Amino acid sequence: MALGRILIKFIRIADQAYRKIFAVVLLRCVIYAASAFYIAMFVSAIIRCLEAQEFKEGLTGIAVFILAGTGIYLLKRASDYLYEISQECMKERLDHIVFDKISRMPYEYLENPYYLDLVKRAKFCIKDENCIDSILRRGFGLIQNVFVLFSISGLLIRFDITVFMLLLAAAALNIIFYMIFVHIEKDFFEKSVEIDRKYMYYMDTLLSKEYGKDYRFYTVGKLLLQKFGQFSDKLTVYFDWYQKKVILIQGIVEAVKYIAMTGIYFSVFHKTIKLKLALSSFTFYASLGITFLNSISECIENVMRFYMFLKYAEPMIELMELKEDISDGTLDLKEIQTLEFKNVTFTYPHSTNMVLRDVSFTIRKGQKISIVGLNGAGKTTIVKLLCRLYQPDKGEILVNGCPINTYRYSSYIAQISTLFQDFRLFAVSIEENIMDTRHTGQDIMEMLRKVNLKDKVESLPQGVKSIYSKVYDEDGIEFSGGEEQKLALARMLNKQSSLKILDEPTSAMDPYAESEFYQTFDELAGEGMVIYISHRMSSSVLADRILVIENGMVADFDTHERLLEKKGRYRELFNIQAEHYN
Amino acid sequence: MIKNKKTVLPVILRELNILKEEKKKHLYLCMSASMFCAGVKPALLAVIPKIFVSWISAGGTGTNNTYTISCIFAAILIAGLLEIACDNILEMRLVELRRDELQKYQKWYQQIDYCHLEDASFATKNQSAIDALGGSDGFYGTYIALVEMGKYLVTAVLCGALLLRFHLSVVCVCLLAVFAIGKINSSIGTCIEKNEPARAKLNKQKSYFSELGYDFSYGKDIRIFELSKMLRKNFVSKSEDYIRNLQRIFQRKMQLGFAAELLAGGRNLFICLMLALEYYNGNIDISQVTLYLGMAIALNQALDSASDKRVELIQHAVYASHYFDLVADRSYISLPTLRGLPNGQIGTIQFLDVSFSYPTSEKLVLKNINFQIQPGEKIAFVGINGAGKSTIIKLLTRLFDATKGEVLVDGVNINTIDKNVYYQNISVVYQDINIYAASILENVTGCLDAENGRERAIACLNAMNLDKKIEALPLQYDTSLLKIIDENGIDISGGEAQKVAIARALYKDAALYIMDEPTSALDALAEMEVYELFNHAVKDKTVIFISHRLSSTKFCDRIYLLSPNGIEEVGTHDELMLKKGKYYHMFITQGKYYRKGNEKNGVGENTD
Repeated sequence: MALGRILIKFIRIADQAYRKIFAVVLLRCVIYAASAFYIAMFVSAIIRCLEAQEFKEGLTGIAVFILAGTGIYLLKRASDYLYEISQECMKERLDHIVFDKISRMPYEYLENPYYLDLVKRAKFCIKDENCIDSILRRGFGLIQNVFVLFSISGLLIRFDITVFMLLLAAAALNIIFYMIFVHIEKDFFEKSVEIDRKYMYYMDTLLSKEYGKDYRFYTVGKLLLQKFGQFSDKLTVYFDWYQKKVILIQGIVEAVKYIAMTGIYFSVFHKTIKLKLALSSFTFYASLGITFLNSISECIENVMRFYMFLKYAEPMIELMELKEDISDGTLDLKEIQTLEFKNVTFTYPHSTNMVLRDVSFTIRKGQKISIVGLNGAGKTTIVKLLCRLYQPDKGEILVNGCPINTYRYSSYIAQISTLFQDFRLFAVSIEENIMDTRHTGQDIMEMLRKVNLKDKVESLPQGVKSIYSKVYDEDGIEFSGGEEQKLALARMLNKQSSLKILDEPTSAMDPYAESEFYQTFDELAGEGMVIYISHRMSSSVLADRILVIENGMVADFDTHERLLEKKGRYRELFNIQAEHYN
Repeated sequence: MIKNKKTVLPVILRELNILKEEKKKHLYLCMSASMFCAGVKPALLAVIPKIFVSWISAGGTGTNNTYTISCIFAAILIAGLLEIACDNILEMRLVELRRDELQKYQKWYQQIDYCHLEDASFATKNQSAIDALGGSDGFYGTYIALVEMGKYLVTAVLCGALLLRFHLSVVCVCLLAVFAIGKINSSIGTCIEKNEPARAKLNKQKSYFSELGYDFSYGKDIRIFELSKMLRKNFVSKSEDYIRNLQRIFQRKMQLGFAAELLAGGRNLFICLMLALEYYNGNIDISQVTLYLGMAIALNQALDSASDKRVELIQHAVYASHYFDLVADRSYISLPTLRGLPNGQIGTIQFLDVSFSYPTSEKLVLKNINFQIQPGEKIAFVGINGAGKSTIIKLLTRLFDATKGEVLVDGVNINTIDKNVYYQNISVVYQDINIYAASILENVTGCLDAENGRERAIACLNAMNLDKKIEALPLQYDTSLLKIIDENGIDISGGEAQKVAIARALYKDAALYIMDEPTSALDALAEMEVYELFNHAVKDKTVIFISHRLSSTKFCDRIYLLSPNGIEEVGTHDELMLKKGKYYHMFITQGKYYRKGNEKNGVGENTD
């Protein structure tokens, strides 16, 4: 993306996030520019007061001048405060916007390595590199520099052209060398992003408690340390190469600076002698020249950093610009009466393996269907398609006779409730974890009673308002694996949906809990449609019909009794498990 | 203030010491050279206008001054170049140093007693340590701030020395001002420090929600249950709490800043009036005014900057101290003992009246547990959730220590055995499967380039029936798992990962195996396969299973049924079934659907 476009988009995003920041930064720049001029003029102003004036006037002049300066510095402090707090506000708002963005991203992006990477890079930009702060400071610093430079140029041109030419020459040299530097840095930063990602992997894996047990019982921990060491060594070589170039460029720039300074002093000196100007004039113009030089350096550095951080911001900008969920339907869905897969074929993006081939089946309201098959057969994929997380490549999925895409997503998803194997609960109150966001005022405790968690929750100090998990609050509550699943089950049942989908509902439950679950299953599910996937064939006897999936195709769709009669895969799987109980 | 001194100085000394330890003594020279060169520049720069001014006053003739001025500029340039070289070299080596320190920490993290990993207060300390070692804050920042402060101090000393020739009072006022301003700055520092725990806590809270956005594994549930609004509400509220906290601190900072500026204004006024007085009294000429003014400005700038840097230095040192204090705290690692296992490997295991409650709770999770396991036995612990099965395992594997009672191996209390030796003698497979960004072989052996172990590792993978899949890959056993480090790496399914984890356990070949629900993620066929393969491979080892699925532990030599009250029943499957107690009921319940199904069928056949 061209720099100009990135900049415009960034401004738009910053505006959306926290409009006040622009005014605050502008104010800061004006005050900083004023203080830069003040410092430049200080010595010559004092000398002026002393030179031409009587004692009293001299002292008064000095006092006024210093008072003015103090005023400027007080304003500086105030503007610093405003900036610091605005910048934090902006970072937070940006985080919120990213959060919104990602929750609205088409689901298939979340399983796409390109977007995984994009999000990681965007996150790195906002959080770790202080990208936003740098862009703002450098950007406005640039405006401040330009203002100062133009003012000084005006004054110097009128004073002495030679001095001004000298300054321009020095500026030109500086610019050339910095361009070379930028070129080197570009390469470096492109590689850095990938390096940082790998670095974060090692950091996350080596220092998170998840792997703690493995590290103690096995030597994989030491293995990873060694790998990290090797990685670091490579990094050192790479960084050293880069740093040596930095030394060279910085050195040249420093030399140019002091040679130019010598020239300025001598030129202003000669002019002062020639025109027999006052001493304060000498110090004034010499000081202006020095300030010009410093501003040029600052300006170039600002340009460079500004460019660099804008480039860093690219992933964040790309993320913000991502199209949200693709075209939504318009129909309203009140209740699912029938659900039909019609010749559905599907391959995951970025994969060559056809997961579903020409799958067709129909389910009616009130039916409980079990989907059975080996790992990788396509069971979970059917569910993901149903939830509109992906779209079929061929064929259609129809609800009540209409393709599911024609329904408005929010009204469609309100009719579906799930319990996935890799479900997630959130570090908010238990109540918020379970309740249905559309129908508040539910009896949470009743639902907890049904899943047998009422006693546990009532025994907690804050009851149903306790925060789940200790991840950020020491008073949070940790639940065991089985209890977590009960919470997720409560969440699923609480949602007033006409279709309930369960993926491995009892894997972490003990036999009693499992039995209880199946016993109350019919009652809790009510008249709604249920689809569930389970490796435990024991649960399929509860289903009205069983959909047997093999290699992405429908092998059979029949009742448990009839499937046992046929000598197919279903019977084979069922008997393996059953034999242990006889 | 006192606390700062106590924290900061030791940290600085420690970090300087690290340079010596890491054989980077030349960095002392680098730092000193950088400080001196940078310090000298402003002083020299302040002399130049003076020479010009007196030259102009004298008429502007003569060439001696040209020579002098050029020499001074040359000296400034050389100092500048030297400073650049030293600063960059320092940066290069410090980045290395920081990484080395990080690696030391990572190593330490693997050595601490496991129980701390499950402790929330440790999690905060861990995060602080990570923050201190990453980026330019903390560890790295301390060195840099130290050098920067040194640069300003050098300038201050040079300029101050010259100003003494003018008037002692001026130097005194400057020093007074900087001390006063310094006090103000340090109270800002104290404020920040006092606020830090609260800020860190609020930061952690809002970061949780922020991370939710970036962690895609939450995506399904957020979409299906339409949770993004609720989560966002929580997020925004935590953000606002955080900002409010920052606002308080920043405001205090600004108020103290105002006081500092007023002090500075007073100081400047004093200096200029002194100069004016001396000038009007004829004691000094205009060129000397220029010189002393320049020196005073340079002095004050240097003192102010040094003072600011001091605050930065304190901040960095405080961050770094979180890291140093943490790793210096010996309470995290139990003392090693010299004692090994009585028989070289784990034989009999005995729980003698063991009770246990977690360190942060008083509730007894286990009460008076007693059992004994002979070598070579296959044992199962079953029971409802919360009965304590996983806890028994945690005690048995010495991740936690028993609160009361003893855990004995071959008659010896395991607390007296060296922990690392003990860990080396157990092979564990957990429910959560962890595979790492390394080759398949390395994931199994846990070693880099284990040439001697290669054959054995391949045998273990074959024992889990993974050979066909692996040998079909271009790099076979050297294929990398996960795509994050090696783009040519592969992702494998949950079942396959579990098999790799079991192969890892087999490779370790300990005398004791612990299997904690290892097949929960697998389907029936895969589960059967895994148990068959596994049981064949561990024929003469001691194996402890935890399982909900009573069918998978039917074959065990002995089964312990646990409940929150302790061990309820013990025996073989057949014995327990005959008892018609709790185990019997659990088994019947779990299997009743199979029975029901078969009864419905009217068929009693088991297999084909």
